[in-house]
Amino acid sequence: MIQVESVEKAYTSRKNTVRVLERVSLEVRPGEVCALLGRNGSGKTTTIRIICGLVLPDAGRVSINGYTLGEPEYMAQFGALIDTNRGLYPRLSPLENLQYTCMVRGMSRQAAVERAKHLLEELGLWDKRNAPTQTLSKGMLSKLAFANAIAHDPPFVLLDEPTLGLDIDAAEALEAQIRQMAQSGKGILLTTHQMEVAERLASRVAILSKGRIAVDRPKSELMAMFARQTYRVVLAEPLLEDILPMAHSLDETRTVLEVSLEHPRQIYELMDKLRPAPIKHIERLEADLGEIFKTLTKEPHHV
Amino acid sequence: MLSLVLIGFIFYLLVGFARAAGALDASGVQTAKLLVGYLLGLLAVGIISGPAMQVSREARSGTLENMVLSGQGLTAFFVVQVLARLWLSLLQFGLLFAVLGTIFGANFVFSWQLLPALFLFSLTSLGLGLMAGAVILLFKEVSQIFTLVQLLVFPAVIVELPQLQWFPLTLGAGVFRKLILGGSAAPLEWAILLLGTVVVYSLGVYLFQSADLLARKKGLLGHE
Repeated sequence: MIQVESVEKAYTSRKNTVRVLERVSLEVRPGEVCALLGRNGSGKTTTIRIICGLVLPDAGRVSINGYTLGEPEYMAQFGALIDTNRGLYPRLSPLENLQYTCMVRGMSRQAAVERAKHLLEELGLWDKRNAPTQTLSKGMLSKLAFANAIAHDPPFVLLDEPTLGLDIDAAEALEAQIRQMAQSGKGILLTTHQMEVAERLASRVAILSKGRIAVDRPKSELMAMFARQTYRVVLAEPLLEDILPMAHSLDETRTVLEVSLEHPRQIYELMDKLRPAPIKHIERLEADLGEIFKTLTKEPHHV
Repeated sequence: MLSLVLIGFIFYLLVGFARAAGALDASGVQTAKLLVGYLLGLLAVGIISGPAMQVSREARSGTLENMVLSGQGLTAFFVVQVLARLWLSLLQFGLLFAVLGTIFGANFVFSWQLLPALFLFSLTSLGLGLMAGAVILLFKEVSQIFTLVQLLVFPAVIVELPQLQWFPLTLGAGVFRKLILGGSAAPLEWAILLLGTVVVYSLGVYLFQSADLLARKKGLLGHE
């Protein structure tokens, strides 16, 4: 398990000190896809870089499978994709890049060649195995960078914006790989700005806001928490008066409205108010992750 | 190959100018000394700028982060990279010695003692290279460092300055120069050279590791 405990980080320049992370705690379990979400500058990348050992925390503790940052075994516990456009030797071929990474990670030459070939076949890069890496398309580079991150078959994988800038096919292929890895028991921590990606992949969602974890819950629980507050009401006749201050949207026909309630019991109050216009249908809406994210990152919330 | 021809040609011009200015005697000893200094200077500049250039290159391509992620440690990576390239530099060094020595009629004496002298000289250069690499890790100003290395190291190794005779790099060059020209080095010179090399190399490793730590604290690792 990845355990981040009370991690703090601030960057100090001559002029000022910027606190990036304040007592951030996070856990990622085997087989789980944890999406770490946050606005720009919320501290997502710093969190990932701290777990990777690329940035040292000012305070707190990071451990993976019981090994703490700084212990030699720690680095073998994870693979990381920090930047899909960088991190590969442009003049080496994909085969050579992967073989090099495997060997640097301690594999024998023979094992490294086998692993590199296996990854290239699995990710559909076999035909390009001997081409200079600098000649690959962005989608292929992204696949290769991903393969490079998991070359040593680590139990945990950290992905910083893995689908950023990818076309739909490449993004779907990468998402399939992530799902497959999670199914095989690997723990995944990913950051993304694309809420739909997080919604599709994540089993757990942690939201960073202003350097603090605003929420960290299983996605289903989070969705359920927010789902019970929003209703869609379809009326048989148009609503002529704005009798509902809590309705936050009403369509052009004035027959479909969305209402946010503070408590489920208010549904009866709502029905009373709507009595002049017969109700055809009421449904509880599933909030999407984007809405939840916006709500939670608007003001400091702690759920 | 082109670089070897160029290096030889530059030395040919250097000797030509020095002779025209009357700075070299007719015996050829000074020419031989100049040749040894010139080639050692090239070797030192190559080794010293190695880690700095490599840090800059890896930072640009984003592979510096992968080096950290491998868990091997940045220092080990750069030392191994320099050592891996060193055999090629030494091969070129030997070839130039043979060719230019023959052209200029230098009477070089090849003894086994040249090997430890060359090893200590190279290790001192590597120590200085790690110091330069430490600066690059933090400031990424590779061109200024490279110019500074060339300006300081090259003349210091070519010209035998009494003020610098006990500095490990120039002492190493001095011992090598003496040995290849048929002389011998005193035990005290060997002892000081060994001690100086250990100090410079250890200091280089320490500063590079400290810069690595500081870069990670400040979040500078991998930034171009």
